[in-house]
Amino acid sequence: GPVTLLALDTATPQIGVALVGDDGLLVATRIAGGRRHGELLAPTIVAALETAGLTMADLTAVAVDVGPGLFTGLRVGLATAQALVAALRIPAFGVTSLEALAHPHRREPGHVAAVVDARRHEVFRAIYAPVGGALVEVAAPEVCTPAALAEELTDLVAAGGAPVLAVGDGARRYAGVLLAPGVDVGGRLDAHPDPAVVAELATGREPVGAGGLRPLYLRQADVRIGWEQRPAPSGAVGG
Amino acid sequence: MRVLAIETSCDETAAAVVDDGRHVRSSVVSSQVDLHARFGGVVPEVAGRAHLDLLTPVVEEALARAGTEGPELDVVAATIGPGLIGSLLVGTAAAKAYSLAWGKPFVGVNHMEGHLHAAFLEDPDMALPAVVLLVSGGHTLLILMTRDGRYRLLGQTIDDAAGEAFDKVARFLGLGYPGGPAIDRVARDGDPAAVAFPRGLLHEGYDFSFSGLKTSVVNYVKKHPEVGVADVAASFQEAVVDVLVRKATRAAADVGARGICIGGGVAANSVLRERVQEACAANGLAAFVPSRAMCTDNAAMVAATAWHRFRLDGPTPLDAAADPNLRLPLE
Ligand SMILES: [Zn+2]
Repeated sequence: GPVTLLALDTATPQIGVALVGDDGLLVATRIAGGRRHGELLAPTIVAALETAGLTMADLTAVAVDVGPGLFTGLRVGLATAQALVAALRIPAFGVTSLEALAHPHRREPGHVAAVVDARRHEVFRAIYAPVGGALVEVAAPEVCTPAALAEELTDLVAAGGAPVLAVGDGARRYAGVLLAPGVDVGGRLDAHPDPAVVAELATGREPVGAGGLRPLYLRQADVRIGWEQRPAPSGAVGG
Repeated sequence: MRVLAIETSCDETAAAVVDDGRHVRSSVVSSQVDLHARFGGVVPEVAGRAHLDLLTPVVEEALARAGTEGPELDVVAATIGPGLIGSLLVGTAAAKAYSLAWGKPFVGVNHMEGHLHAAFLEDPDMALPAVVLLVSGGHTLLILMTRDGRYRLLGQTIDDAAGEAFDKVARFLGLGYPGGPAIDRVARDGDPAAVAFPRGLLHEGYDFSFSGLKTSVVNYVKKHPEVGVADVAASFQEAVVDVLVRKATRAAADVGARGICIGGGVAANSVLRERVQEACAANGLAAFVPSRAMCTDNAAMVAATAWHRFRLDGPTPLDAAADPNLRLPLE
């Protein structure tokens, strides 16, 4: 039967939803969401299905951005994707935020660095080399400081001679640190993963079940006890 | 009406299927207590990660044990607050997605209202009005349940929650985590009258205060290093239970309640359970002491509440936010 893939991206302060059918992209929505992924994702899925004239029963697979990125955003996207594939008994695909950011630039002359803001003055990054119209990962996803990344990128330029393009909200936030001769930073349109690209990258991959969707945190859990995160005694009730 | 409910507000990943708000077809609770024990308390980021790992299998297990499937459900519910935001988001997002996938209405449930409904699951004929003592790691509330869906706040803690005091004192005494069961166990070999710890706000209204008690325990042990841990644990527990039970009993008499009900994790404490029953017997009140499994966090109580709320208010919109400080709908 016809194929309808739902792609979700909540790895950055953006909510991205795309639907792809046999004949290509049906709808792609990207909205600025801050940290409101939990409120905005489900209604955005409903709206996308309506726009495409489809229902949940039409979905044949779900692709999701597994990060790295905002932990809470990632968990909203992954919990949603896991529940959808478990309920509808359809296959799932995981795509990293970094490959989704880099993919549109696969025809650049030099390396592409995908850089996601990791907060706390750090970034998540991976580096790709263009080979025959596709990208090959040359540095696996890692967390590092903007200064360390800047050094890594200028070293790449010095070694290869070709320019390096850094894309993603981390690249834009730390553009002042990263910009150097031969190192360019992508525009606002490249700041967040495109859900249509998440869908495109999922196509042809090995599908997994709900349990195969795992977030790429790249950071150990902060192990401070959450006394202060517990609801305040006076805030628990009232009105 | 068949409800699937999900509970992920703190450190238990739970799912349950309940028919008509009272017949529990399944209730699955996957505790993360071992994950958090080495840190001495619930670590929010560790909890959020574990909920995501555990939730889908727990939901599948609840459906399988209930002998039902998504299309046979009438409502999909989840705890929407209060609790740890990173934990609430996992269960809420999943419940919304299940609701979309199966085309069933979504209902967001207040966790505290869930605890209030837990007693009804085991005792549907609970006599009202009743004074409900909700005591957990995050809450210490004294509530008057006037009739179905109506709650009046009588008192609450002005500082630490009762369960928080248990955790902090247990940690200070080197008894490990979670503190409630640890103190309960050790206190059995101690003398509850060994140390006269202060009873915070005992004669002042229905509010509670436990931070002074915690400080007294620390100061006392520092001044008397020879004191036995069992005696300190028993005396501390006695001070907490004494205040809780005396205030609940006084409140019940003042407002003309027909019974006292307890809920929340601290309601699993053996001395509190015993003392509530004794106080009720002595004062001609009915005692509603739910099973320990129903006192601690579970999804069956969330399903029962969702059934009740759905009949009163209808579905919750899919853009509803998980709220770490969600308030009880009080009169
Ligand atoms: Zn609770």
